Amino acid sequence: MSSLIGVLLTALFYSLVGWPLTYMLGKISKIERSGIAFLLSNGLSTFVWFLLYRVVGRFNLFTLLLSGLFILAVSCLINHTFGFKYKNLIDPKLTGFDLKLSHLVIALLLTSFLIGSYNPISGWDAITLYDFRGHTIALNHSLKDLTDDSSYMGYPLMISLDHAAVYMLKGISAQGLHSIILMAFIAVVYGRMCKWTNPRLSLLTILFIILNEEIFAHSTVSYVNLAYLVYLVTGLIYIITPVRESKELGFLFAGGLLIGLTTWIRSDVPFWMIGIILILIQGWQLRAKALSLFSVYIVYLMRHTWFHFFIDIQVSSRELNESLSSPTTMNVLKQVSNYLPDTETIKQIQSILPEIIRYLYLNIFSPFRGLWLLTIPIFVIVFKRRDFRLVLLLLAILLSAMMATFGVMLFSTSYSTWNLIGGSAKRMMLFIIPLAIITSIYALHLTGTGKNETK
Amino acid sequence: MKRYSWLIAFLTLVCFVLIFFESVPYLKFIVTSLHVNTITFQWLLLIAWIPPLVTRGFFHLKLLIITLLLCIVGESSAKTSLSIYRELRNITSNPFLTYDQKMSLTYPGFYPAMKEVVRLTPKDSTIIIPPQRNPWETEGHTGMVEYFIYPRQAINMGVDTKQLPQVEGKLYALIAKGSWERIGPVDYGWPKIPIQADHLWHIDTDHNVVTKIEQNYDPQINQWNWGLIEVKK
Repeated sequence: MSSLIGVLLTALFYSLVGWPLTYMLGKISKIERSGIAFLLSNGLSTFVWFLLYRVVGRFNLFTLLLSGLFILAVSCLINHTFGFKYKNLIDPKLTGFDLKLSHLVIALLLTSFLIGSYNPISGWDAITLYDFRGHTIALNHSLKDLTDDSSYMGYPLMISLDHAAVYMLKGISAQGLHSIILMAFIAVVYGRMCKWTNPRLSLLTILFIILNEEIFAHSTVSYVNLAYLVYLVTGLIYIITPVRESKELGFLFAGGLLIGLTTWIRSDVPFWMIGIILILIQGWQLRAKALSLFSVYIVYLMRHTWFHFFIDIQVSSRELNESLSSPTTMNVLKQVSNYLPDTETIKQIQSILPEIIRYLYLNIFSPFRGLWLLTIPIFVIVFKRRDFRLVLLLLAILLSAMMATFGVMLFSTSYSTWNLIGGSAKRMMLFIIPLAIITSIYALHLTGTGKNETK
Repeated sequence: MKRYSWLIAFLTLVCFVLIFFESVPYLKFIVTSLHVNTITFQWLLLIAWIPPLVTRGFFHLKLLIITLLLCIVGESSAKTSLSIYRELRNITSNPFLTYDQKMSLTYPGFYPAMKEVVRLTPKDSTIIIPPQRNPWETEGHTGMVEYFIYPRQAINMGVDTKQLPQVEGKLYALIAKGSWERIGPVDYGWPKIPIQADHLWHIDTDHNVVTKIEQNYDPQINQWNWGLIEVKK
């Protein structure tokens, strides 16, 4: 019971803190607003909590509250300065088959919460890393015993700080929070798809997403993969929401924040760059260059804040020379700098190319083959309809395939055991599931309407 | 052309159903029983979809998207439903278990042993554990052990290392037979060397009984599943 109270109190705190921040999005439904308020505030509150820790050297509920109040104050200031007001879009009234679909969706989400809350935290990565950090932070109110070992700091802290908040509220297991992250995502996707298509297609979209066994399973365990895909896909669909005629520029900024927050969940994967590319395209297309550059700056700021901290603890925990020559630091430095492969690396890649292709086929293509194949009819619809939003959605999918390919190539030259962790590559690509489902249903909608939604 | 598209759509669904069934009993099940190679079947279907894709109108495109979505969702929802059924059956059969009891079911032996280690040792102590290799994959993993015994520290030692580490505070050694099935050359049982001890504890995780024994550790005699040594300094 104490876990349930801890998880629900944490989720409520995030939703309340994030609520005013959603005013910049203009007219959206209450369902979508609740979802995005939770997601934005979860990421930003923990991020500010971490920054505050860097200043005062203590993680506790009071500093978390201060972080929340800071987010609240900044949101109110932004709303006041730019005149953003609370505008509610009435949720569509569901009847008949749609109502039954919505009941099924709610039942599945509650089942996910029940399973996640009931089961103990048992996944190896959760025990040895994410939840362990949550427990030690809650116990020590600091990063004591974590910064001595770089393996504990290989991933940014967002999920562990979420867990720490639940443990500080006397919860025993924070696993239920992961189902709430899925619920928030489903609320956002439903809201967006209602705007882009119609209630029935929106319901089918979210049902298809929840019914995916990988996504459902990840909502009941304490890993970072679900949170990562939620922030990445929400960020991408928010970035592509504004169209030329509309003035929904708040979505572009919120999208930038969400993409920045993906680097606060996982800093070892390159997909934040898809967000940057889409932000720049949208900035140019919407004639909002200043806003798009500011959004890109936010992404870099979040990413580099964590990396500088990581380098700091590496250097302070060892002798400088030893630290700079350690493989972990070298890999981080390569990621921080705009690492381009040199001739030696290219030769190395060439020598193991067949093995890389096999690895990509087995772990990136094959597990999602149906979803990758969906891009073929979507590609034809893009040519026939010339809908800009669909172009961007398809571009996001193609860029993710490209980045996964280049990422695996570079990874294979940095880590000798690269080909032994195929499951990790598959988990890294989970975001392709909701992205491809959203894209294909939006394309399906376009084939039925007989008009371009966005020129 | 419409009939052709319907036929291809039907065959695509059949292909995905075959692939799904193949994943349930064993891989290559369909090849051995029906002599249909599902991988080649997929590629043939992919080629068969090309003519409808280049024709005018949206009918064929819609049909292809719906077919693929049906295949994807059909396969994943079958797996999800099965997993939900298993989880709910587990919950309804044991609805009021405590967190400790659920952990003991997840990590039988290991979790109760770690709980006893926590009870028997001071917070600033160091516990030496087996190397992380077969058959000590779990109890030899410092991350796994430290999760349960924190703030105590866990240090790995080799299979036959004779020199014990010099540490501040009290030093303990975990006695672990090996919770994984033995597949390598190394036999069950650790530590494999005699250790001068203040006491030993035999931890019987099956019956929740801990027995304190005043003697040195002898690997030939003290062959227990779980135990703890307070190392003499």
